[in-house]
Amino acid sequence: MNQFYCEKEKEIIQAFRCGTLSTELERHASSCAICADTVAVSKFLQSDRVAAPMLPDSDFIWWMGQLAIKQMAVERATRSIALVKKTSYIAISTAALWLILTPGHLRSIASALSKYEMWSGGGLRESALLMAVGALFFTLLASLYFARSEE
Amino acid sequence: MSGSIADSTGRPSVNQDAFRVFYSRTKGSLWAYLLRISRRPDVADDLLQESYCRFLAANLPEMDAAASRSYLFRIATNLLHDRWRRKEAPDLVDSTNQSCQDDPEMRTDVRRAFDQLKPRERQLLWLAHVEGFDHKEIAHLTGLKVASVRVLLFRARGELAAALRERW
Repeated sequence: MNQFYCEKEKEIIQAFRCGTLSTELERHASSCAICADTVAVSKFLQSDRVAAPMLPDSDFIWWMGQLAIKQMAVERATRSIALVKKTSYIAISTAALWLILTPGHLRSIASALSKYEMWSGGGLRESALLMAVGALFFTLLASLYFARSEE
Repeated sequence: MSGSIADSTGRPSVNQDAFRVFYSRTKGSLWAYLLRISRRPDVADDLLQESYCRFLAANLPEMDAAASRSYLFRIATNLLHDRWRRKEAPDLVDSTNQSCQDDPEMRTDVRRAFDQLKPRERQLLWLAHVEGFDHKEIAHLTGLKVASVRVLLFRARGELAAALRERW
């Protein structure tokens, strides 16, 4: 026995669960403070049983479980699609924010488009193209990563 | 009618007949545990169904009855912890309707002593004294260390025993 635990504790609990406490255990409990508390608490809890009300039928619970399994399977299957969607939205939003917050670039792109000079060189066009390619590349990589992790 | 449910890989999971037997053996004790810890019959009803649904959805390997029961109680314990984390205030169960002793007034009084313990204390006492789990199993169910279970159980038991002696 240590300060918080006595080896006889489990025996006493089991005895109460089965219904009878042996003379030996009773004698031990009268001299052990931990086991005396164990007896008092076990006696109370074993006698304080609450009758369960009408509980659901097992077949009902079984079919609720099958619905839960199917729902989890659907969520797992659509998780990667949802993630790819979110990643695409983030990439597109980032590109859109960049274009909005740097209106000079947007005007230049619009001007170049109107003159059909988009591919005629210049750092601005290259950086816009780089951003678009980068966003696409990132989206593709993220999609591949999440698709593989799902597998 | 029997049936087995396969998961997405085609492996059989729990057989319906086996589940029927398991359910009939555990539903009463699980409901009583959920009621005494949550102190609300509606919560006990909800968590009972949720526990069994999660048990079925867990796709467990073959286990004996004791291990299955332990796993079921672990699920129920986790669900109770989720409720505590959401800080859902428990209501006291009406003690007067549920006594099985001769002196209703005394039973109400002593039951109030139990109900006034902290949820964790009620949980440990119930798992040890009513369900018969040992300290190691209780540690596994609750996520505590074995040494912590011993100390917390010792304190909870001492507190309840003192309250019971006052009232008896």
